[in-house]
Amino acid sequence: MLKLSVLSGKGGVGKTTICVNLAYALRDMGKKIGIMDFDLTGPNVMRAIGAEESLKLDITKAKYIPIEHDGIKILSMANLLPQGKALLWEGIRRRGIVKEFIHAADWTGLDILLADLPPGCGDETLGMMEYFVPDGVIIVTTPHSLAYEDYLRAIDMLKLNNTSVIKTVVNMAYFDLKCPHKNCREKKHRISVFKDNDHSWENSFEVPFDPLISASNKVDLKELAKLIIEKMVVA
Amino acid sequence: MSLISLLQEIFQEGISKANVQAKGTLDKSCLYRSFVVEIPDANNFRYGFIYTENGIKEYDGYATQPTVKMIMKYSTFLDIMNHKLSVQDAVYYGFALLDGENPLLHMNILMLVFSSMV
Repeated sequence: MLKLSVLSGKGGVGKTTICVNLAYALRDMGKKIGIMDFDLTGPNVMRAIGAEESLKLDITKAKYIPIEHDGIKILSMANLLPQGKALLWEGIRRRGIVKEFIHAADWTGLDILLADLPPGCGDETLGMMEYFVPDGVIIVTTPHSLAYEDYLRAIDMLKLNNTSVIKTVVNMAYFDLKCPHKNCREKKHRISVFKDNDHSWENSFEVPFDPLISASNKVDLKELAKLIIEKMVVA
Repeated sequence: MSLISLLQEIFQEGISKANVQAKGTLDKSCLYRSFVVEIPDANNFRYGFIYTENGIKEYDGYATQPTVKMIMKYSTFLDIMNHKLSVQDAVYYGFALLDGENPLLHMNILMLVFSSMV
């Protein structure tokens, strides 16, 4: 089973959207996929995937049985907490939940297990590094200069842990303009600090800014999914 | 009656009531998980119980490493007993801290005992 993490330095860059859409793209290529929602205090994977948040995990069994939606297995705090309830656990116990999600859940039969993380280098991310030990990371950012600063911090953390970045996804990178009268399209890039400062831009995967992206299965991540499957074959 | 004996009595009563529910509620795979409730500011009160095939039984909380430990202040315990705070909220809001092996998974057993106490 390939273990991949989707993380970012800055919040609000679209990690969950990318993670969920990547899960669908990989599923459509015949892979069995699971998602662990490590955003413990703001778990949104269930909503992003269009699944029922009110489904509660059965915690009377010896192992958690992940909830299945559209053939994708999901484990999220959203299915443990009552709706709208805050989880006010400090760091060490949040790391404990991360460990529990990995070891106490039944993830058998999967080809790829994705971990969706909260932004930054906090406890959930550190717990994921320690207990999940991903085979690779998809790092999500936007072209904004503030996102770039935190992107560098996330890269630094990954280097320290010898974790490879499979791809940098630059989300909301450009506007995909369609000419109303002619049969033409134009990519209008947002101003970016990446091009001048960092060679990783050349290796990045751009996703357009699309105000209609609000649910799963809207972002075309087939190319990214292919890249991951190629990595699986090599491994 | 001392505070410790009172707490002891409350827990014993809770566990005997929880026994009735436990047999019908919990999966057999949860058997032999052990739990300790600690209330450090009540003279280090510590109460241990274990989920067995015959239901929930008390045990010497000092004897073995428990599966899950729940630590709370005495004021939190009183708030639960006085219906000012639910056990769930005490856990979610971090007033009752869970430690040990898979605390979320075993939270149900703790909930069962506490809901039988109040």
